Amino acid sequence: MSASGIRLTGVGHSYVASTGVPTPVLDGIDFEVGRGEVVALVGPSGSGKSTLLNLLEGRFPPSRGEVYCSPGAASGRMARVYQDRALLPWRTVRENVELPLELLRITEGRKERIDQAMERASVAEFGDFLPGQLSGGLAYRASIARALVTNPEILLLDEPFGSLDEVTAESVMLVLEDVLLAYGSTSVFVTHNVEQAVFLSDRVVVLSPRPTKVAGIVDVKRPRPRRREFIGDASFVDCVREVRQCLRRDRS
Amino acid sequence: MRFTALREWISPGLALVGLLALWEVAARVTHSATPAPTQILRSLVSDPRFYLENAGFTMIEAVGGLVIAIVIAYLTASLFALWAPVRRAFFPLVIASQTIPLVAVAPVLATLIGEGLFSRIFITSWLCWFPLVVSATHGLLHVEPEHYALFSTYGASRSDVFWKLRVPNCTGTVLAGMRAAAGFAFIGAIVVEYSGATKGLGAFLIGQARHPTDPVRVFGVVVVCALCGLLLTQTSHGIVRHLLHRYLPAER
Repeated sequence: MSASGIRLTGVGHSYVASTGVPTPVLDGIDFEVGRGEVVALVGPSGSGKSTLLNLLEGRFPPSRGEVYCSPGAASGRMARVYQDRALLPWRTVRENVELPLELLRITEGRKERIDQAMERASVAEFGDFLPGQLSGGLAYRASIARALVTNPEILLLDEPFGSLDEVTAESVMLVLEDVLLAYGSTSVFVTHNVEQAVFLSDRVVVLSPRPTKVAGIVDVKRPRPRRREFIGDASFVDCVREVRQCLRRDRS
Repeated sequence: MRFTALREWISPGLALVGLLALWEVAARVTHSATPAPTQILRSLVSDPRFYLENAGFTMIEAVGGLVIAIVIAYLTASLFALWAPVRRAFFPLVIASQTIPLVAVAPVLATLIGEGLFSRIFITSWLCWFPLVVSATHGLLHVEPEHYALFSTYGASRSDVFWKLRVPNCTGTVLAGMRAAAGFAFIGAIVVEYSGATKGLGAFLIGQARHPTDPVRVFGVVVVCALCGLLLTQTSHGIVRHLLHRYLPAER
């Protein structure tokens, strides 16, 4: 295991309901993400995908098992992109991107870092816009730029394409592919879209319904960078089929 | 667009003119003690000094009270937002304090604190403090969970969370609280004058209630009260909106 990476061993987690009865969400999750790898977590709704991200971020410890995630949260080396973008509506895109640097008291090369992150996420020309003026795809790219501004070693993405239409989702997906390649961050993203998972990741971890186990792991061997052509490629179709089989097998 | 706005004013405007005309006819035909609208208007035009002097005096109390209330309310709300134990102890008391009809207690307070402009300003500030402190506390506390999570991802300090998240977040509720408070401030200033003030719109009204000598001026003062109330609410609302426009959701 390299210095920067993620490892989950026998991770189980339960939420305690108001009645006091624990509801198991995760049950014995094992997987690893090597340095610079991109892993997609795919599973049905309610399979604890967001819980897994919270555990990786260190928001709370797992009920069982061990989560190794280095560097941890609040180090400034980890960033998360939220499903609802979480852009502060009173700050312009540029000011939103600057926020992590402000909070971490990073003053050195601030302007260059912001410019670079906005450039990479293709939002450079929207710096003076307020989030309320942005379309869904642009808002998402702005939130990617904000995550990138600290050069994170670990990048967690929650449902990156959740609320985007298909065309926008595809363009954001291509931007994300370039970003992941350029920054080389160890990345974990959660999605319920199998095609997007296959396109972006080195490995797809398929999760079963609750209480969630790992239903299967599919390696995507296609080298990077991946372009739109990959989507129709035979290897792409094979991977998608394999992931779907894992999902279906577990449901039956 | 402009025409639509104008059209919205036509119906209520015509209705008002109709009602005033009806009043005028009724007052002239019945020779009642109630002055006709034209008499009131003549009094307002021929004796502006009387109205302006008294209105100015009441306005000083209302604006002074409002400014003090704003300062105290935001300091209190900040304490509540920063220290949960303080909030738990005192916020219910703030709410409970509103079951005391302050408008009824104001004259008693005036006799306790003493006469004079400053005591009247102080009591007025007490009357309009409540909507401000409640709205500000609500705005400071109710931040989007994802925004809060974002700040904790970067290990934000308490002061960063306060100044960069909570304070900008509460601006929308500030505007609502401000509008209510400005209305209360003017009502408060009038009611406070009922107990012992020698100048001001409220002082004139209570004097006339005891020894009615000038019904035309009483109606004139009521008109001036309405105009002052409108002026105060609209001006304070306008100032706050101007200062905070980029933070307000509806303005984006």
